[in-house]
Amino acid sequence: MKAPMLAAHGLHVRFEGRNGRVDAVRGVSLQVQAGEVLAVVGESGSGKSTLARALMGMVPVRQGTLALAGQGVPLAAAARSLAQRRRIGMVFQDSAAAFDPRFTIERILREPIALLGRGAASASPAALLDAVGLPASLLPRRPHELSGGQRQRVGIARALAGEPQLLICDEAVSALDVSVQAQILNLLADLQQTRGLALLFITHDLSVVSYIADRIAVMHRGELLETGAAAQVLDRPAHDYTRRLLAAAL
Amino acid sequence: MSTVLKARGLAISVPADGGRVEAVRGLDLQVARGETLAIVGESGCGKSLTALALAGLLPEGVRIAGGAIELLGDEVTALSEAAWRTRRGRRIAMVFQDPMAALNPVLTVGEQVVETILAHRPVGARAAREEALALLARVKLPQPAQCFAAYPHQLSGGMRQRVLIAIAVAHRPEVLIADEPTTALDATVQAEILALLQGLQRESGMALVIITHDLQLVARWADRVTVMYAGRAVEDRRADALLEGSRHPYTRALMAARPRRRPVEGPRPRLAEIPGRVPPPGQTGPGCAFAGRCGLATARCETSSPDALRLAGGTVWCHAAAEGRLEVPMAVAA
Repeated sequence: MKAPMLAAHGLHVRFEGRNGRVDAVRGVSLQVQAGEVLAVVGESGSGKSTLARALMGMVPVRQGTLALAGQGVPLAAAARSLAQRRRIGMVFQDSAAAFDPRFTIERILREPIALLGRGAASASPAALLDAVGLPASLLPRRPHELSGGQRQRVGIARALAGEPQLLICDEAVSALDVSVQAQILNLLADLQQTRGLALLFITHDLSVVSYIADRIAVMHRGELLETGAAAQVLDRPAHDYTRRLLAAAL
Repeated sequence: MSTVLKARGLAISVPADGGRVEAVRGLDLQVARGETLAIVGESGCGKSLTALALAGLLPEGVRIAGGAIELLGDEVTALSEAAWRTRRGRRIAMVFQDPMAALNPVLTVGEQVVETILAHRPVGARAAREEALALLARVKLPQPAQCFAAYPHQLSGGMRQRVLIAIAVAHRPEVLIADEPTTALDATVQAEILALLQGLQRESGMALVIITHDLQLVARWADRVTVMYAGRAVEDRRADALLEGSRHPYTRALMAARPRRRPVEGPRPRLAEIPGRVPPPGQTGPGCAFAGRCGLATARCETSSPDALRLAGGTVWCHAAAEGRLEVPMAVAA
């Protein structure tokens, strides 16, 4: 059998603060196959966003291992090779907050290309915009001149700069209006279809999960409670917490 | 049923490019004692400005530019802040989306609730404390005495929202306006907060106005729904009538855009996008504001503003509906 696109084993993240320590992610193991959509569902404080950051190497991981296509990968982003870093892109909830408001869209897209995309065929700002359904005429604009949906598309364009095989979407559609959310979900579904992109979709919104996910992992208090095919988790949840979550989601 | 809050032809203007534009226009609303009205719409539709206007809380520079608001039979459209202060709390109160921002981080919960009680009634310190504890129990906070002594950051989001609700209902208002009261909360907590608001409403008979972007939430908790688009009401219906079938293309488009469960086999069906974007205030033409994005729009829709059309359980503003050009009713998937 082919090695999974991403395999995390026993990830543990601990934050130490003045008020003691918090084990935000506790022994989480998960796999994402090439081209599949794994939704990680959980409420605030469940550790789902910390898990995303741990996979990106953005928070220190105490324990655990990570492999991409069967090859071990260092846990800290700084220790990863360029080729390793290119394989995972990330889209955040509020892309606008991650953009420098003084920069043009062109400059915002040039940065990750310079860092990750050197030599890649699609690595021009205009090509990245095209990949997310935006016209090149937006290149000289600044983030505040764009609509919320356009900004989120730019956020996705930026995450595509390294031609990743996996896109981690951390509440990427949660702050959007329903009509814009539909556009972004359609775009992500298209990217998954046409590029064979795998998605790790982190969200608290179960209606989004029921639309996008092939498989669902449920997180609660830092632990992964259950993982299974979408229909199985939605129709026959194994865990009592999952049942409560489903019941509350109207 | 007795109407406690009513707006007629309400217009709200905001500063823009050296001039002023109307962000809300010609809005009629009314809510009766014990009734729940939901105002639904996407960002920029004017729903939050409407909520602030109803509570006399419009920010500096934003003004009521037309129409009238009546609270308990008393015209409040142009009240001074001093006059509002005698009404807010007792007659009308407001709960906001983000309880962390609405609470003072350096005061304990108890201090803030006591402060609210003393703002309208000069009772002794001990009586105020007793009352505050009773209020915290009334909003079903698990350990009222511990919450009383806690600082806001020590509570969960759901508990903070309960504290905010306790403060809002401290003086038993006749009308409670809740602006996206559960948007920032987890799903399991959202339902608890809505149940709490409904419970308090049943106890006191207060009218509830919920501002939300979430049509599905509305379907479950409201008696009546006003759907707003680009500063205007487009559909105003009893919730049960809306559930049976919206009669406005925008409401229908909102429902169709909601992500829904994919089939177990095969590709995901594409979600119905609404093409284009909401016109900014001041840039809507003479016709229906939704015409530019509406699949049913005709030349008439672009040039003339639709009149109110009375129909089962409410009103809709749409030429296509008036001309019988809408397809079969589309139900809200509840």
